[in-house]
Amino acid sequence: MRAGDVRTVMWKEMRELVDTLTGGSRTQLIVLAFVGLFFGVVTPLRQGAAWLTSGTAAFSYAFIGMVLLMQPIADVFAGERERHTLETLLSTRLDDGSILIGKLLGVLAPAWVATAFIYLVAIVATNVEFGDGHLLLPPLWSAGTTLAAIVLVPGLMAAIGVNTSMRADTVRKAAQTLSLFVMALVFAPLIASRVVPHAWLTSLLSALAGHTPAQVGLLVGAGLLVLDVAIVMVALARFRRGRLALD
Amino acid sequence: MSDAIRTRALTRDFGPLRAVNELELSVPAGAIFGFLGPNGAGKTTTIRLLLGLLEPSAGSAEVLGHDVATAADRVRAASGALLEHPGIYERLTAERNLEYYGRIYGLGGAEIAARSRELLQRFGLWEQRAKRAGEFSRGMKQKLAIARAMLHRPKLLFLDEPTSGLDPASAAALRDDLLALVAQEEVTIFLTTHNLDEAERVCALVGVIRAGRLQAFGTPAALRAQAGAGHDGRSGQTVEIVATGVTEALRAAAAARPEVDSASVRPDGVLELALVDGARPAGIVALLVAGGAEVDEVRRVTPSLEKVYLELMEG
Repeated sequence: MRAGDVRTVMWKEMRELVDTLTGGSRTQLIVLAFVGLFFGVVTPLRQGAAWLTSGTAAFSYAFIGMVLLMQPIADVFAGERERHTLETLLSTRLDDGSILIGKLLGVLAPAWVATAFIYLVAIVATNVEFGDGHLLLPPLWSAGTTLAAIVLVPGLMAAIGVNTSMRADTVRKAAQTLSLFVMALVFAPLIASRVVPHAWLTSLLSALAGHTPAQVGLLVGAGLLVLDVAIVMVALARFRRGRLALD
Repeated sequence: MSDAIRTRALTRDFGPLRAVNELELSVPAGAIFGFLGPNGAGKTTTIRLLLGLLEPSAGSAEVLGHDVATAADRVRAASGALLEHPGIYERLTAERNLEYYGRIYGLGGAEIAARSRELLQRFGLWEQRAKRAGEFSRGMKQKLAIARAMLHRPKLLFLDEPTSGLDPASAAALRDDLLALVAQEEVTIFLTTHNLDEAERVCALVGVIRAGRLQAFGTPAALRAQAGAGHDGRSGQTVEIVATGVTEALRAAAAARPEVDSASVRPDGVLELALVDGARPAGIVALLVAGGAEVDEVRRVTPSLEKVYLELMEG
């Protein structure tokens, strides 16, 4: 894998995104504006200054990243296959890793930037409304947890999405399969709370209670990072030019 | 001259289907090779095998000196390809499409700009360079795809049906471009086509494939000569004599001569003679004139590549 090749593939993914946002269909731009307004302005103003220190913020911004990623990540391979551009790309000198990682980062990076920007807007909006002459900033652990969630949770979704997109015939099928994974992710804590024995949950909560929020955030972040990398490695192992060209 | 492409018993199976069957090809560097065959014959699979997109089930292929099984990346780095579909990014402009592929092949910004301008002008797309490729006609997309394949000056070009979708003038211009490219840059071109006239015009070598198996390989002239051979395997030629007063007795007399394999009068009155190899029609003309026929024209008939192709397809 070469950094220059990864950048080239990223460039094309982002170029297509910009060209789509600035011309023709404006659906994604409207979704982005709506999400930005809701989580950048409306929610912080309704929640008050406590929004900056609440753990819910991290989940909310992670969710934004997932929403923004849903369509682009389903499109990365399935879309190219549908539009008959994939085989030409595979017939170039680019190696498997550069194509896969370039595509992954090409859709992740704009989602990260957009979500981080919305988080920044939320901080500004909170200061404007509730600052009262003082600068309100989230505590370091909260900002760190939120930024880690912004990076790692959409990263998990992208890693699953790229695996799905590689094998799907169409973008629609990829998006449908991906939404099943997302639902499983969202409902996993709920299901776990019903399935896992009560004694285990109690001991887990008591173990966590002995740690600071920063330590818990760090632990969860490390787990997510390992999971993200593992799923990307699975995608790399499943990357077969012949199969991708023929599917 | 070294071979740009050499395959040895190259075979590819898809389950029980043998798509390419022990293919033996040698394409010299700097030649335009035409790969002919009906749909599903194995042409596209062969290109995929040569580009290392598919692994062979058996046999081997060497492209530009690299074994495709172990150095497919080097083959792809030195090749350009227009595959079954143009593969154009319709949301990007023509210029951006070329820029992307220029970057992929490691060209610098200035080089991409200069080469894009040269190719877009050559294909008459320069004025449309800032338009999204999605707004292009099929022919324009095809031209843009060919420009993209040529952008990095590859040593080998794979062109799968390059003139499909092009109007006759553009197709003729592309054929001229391909010939110029070979002459100027010594590029080897592996071209698949259904257009036999096109193959005959531009290809130095042709191969005919049917059901995965190579049926014929050689220069168009050699294949035509092969088609002109008699059914007993002897090579020969066909001569048409346009004359009036050719009676059945005269036809039979002509057919009985030792230099004649067969003689028949077509519905339009033309006497068609299959001569043995090296025979000249002068003696037969003299026979006809002596028998009272008036001879207007004598012409040798060269079998077209189309005839060769159809004979091979009929098996």
